[in-house]
Amino acid sequence: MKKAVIISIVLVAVIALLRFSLFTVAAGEAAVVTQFGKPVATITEPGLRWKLPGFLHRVHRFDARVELFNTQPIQLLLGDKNPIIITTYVAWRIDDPLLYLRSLVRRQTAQEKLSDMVISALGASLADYTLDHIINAQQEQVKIAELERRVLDTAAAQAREKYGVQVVRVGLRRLSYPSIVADAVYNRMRAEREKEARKYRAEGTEAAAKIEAATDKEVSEIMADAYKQAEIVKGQGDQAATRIYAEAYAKDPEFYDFLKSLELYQKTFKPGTTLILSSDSELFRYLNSPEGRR
Amino acid sequence: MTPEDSSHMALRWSFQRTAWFALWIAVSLLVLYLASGVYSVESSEVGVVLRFGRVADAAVPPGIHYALPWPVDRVVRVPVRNVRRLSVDDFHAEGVFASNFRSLTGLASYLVTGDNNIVTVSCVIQYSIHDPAKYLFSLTDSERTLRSLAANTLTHTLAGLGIDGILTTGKAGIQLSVKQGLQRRLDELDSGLAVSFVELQDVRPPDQVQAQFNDVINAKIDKF
Repeated sequence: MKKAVIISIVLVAVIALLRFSLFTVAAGEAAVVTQFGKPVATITEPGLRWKLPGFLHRVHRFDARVELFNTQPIQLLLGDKNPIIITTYVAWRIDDPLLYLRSLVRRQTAQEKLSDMVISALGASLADYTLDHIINAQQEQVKIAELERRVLDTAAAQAREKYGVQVVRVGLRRLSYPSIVADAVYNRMRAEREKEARKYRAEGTEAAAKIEAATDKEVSEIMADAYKQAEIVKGQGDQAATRIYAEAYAKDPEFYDFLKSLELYQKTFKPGTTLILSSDSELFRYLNSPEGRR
Repeated sequence: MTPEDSSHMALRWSFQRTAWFALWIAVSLLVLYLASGVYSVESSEVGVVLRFGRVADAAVPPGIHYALPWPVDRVVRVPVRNVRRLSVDDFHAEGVFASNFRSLTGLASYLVTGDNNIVTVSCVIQYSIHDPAKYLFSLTDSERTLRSLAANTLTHTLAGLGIDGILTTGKAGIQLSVKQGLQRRLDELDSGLAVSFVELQDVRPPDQVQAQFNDVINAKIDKF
């Protein structure tokens, strides 16, 4: 009876002891154990850990995963005095939990301080770069990655030393121009496009004129050719006609005269035609006597 | 038998019964406790088992499994089959992030091209979880990180290209280089995410110069 009670009490005590002196640090976490405010252990590996129970040892846990925030957009000057508005992102994590705990920063303030560090490092580094290093149609001339690396190195060294924080990556998230510069860019874009449109139109007009001239030339050539051919054909036709007439006349001049006169009559006398002529006229030769006597 | 004896017996009997009852309850609680370690992983998920906070099994396949009960093991289920979609509208005139930026600075949102022109773009990214343990324990906010890295990659990529290529034939090339650049940046941070698809949508010159760009197209048509 008594044994059972004692066992129960011991069991409860052991469980309580375990409950208050065992703790786990999960993956993605880091912890610092303090004894009345004095750090006694730093834990960066996950697993099951011991500490003195209760208030004797306190566990401070931190999220050791990479956190990311954006800096406020800020206007900075490039080496060639071009103003540019840059927004960056900063990825960081707690690297040395003890130093982080001692520096008394909390996430919000840590981000503000990191943001200041990154912006000042960016401002200093930008002096060594011109706009051509930031934007360039030749891809290999763009040095944004190099700039980011420099800012990262500068900020990371400070942050590690002061706050136990590792800056993992810094990147340009957005590039903008102050509105006056943006307006100038818009104006230039407009002018370039207008020029291009004019060029296309001019090319179009030029092409049209060329086509017109070529067509005119072709037309006159064809016309000349056609005239030439017509003349040749006409000449040949006349020649043939003359020859045929001559041949016909040679065969029988009398019959030729007769036919020619008939042809003339046919042409001259239409129904209702009245002719007043001397009966001796040559015209009536074949009307007076079929033999055609004079 | 004295009355004391009989009452004593009754007491003893009732005590025994209570003890048995307590034992029975204790045993069933123990069985229930041990049984609480049974868990299932859905077909679209992968389980990650943490033993005292340390990763004990990073990839438990779908099905019924057993893990030691609380407080030893903890199981986190990660939906690896889900393809997620993120719309990066930071550089588009009507985006949510663009309007935040406008209220902060009074400036329009755009990207600057390599030949110092301005374009607006919106970009859709599809991604999924590739490595559940890295996904859980590397980043505090994966989506926020992805968005920033995507904006960074777009800024980088367009800073090295001329506007004519961007607006006409360069789209596929930009998509590929953004996809690769983004994946490289995600891997550097051990994000455990894999980008499956990047699409640029609505790539165009800003409204201020749209009319002139349209006129160039008209001029080209006029030419022919």
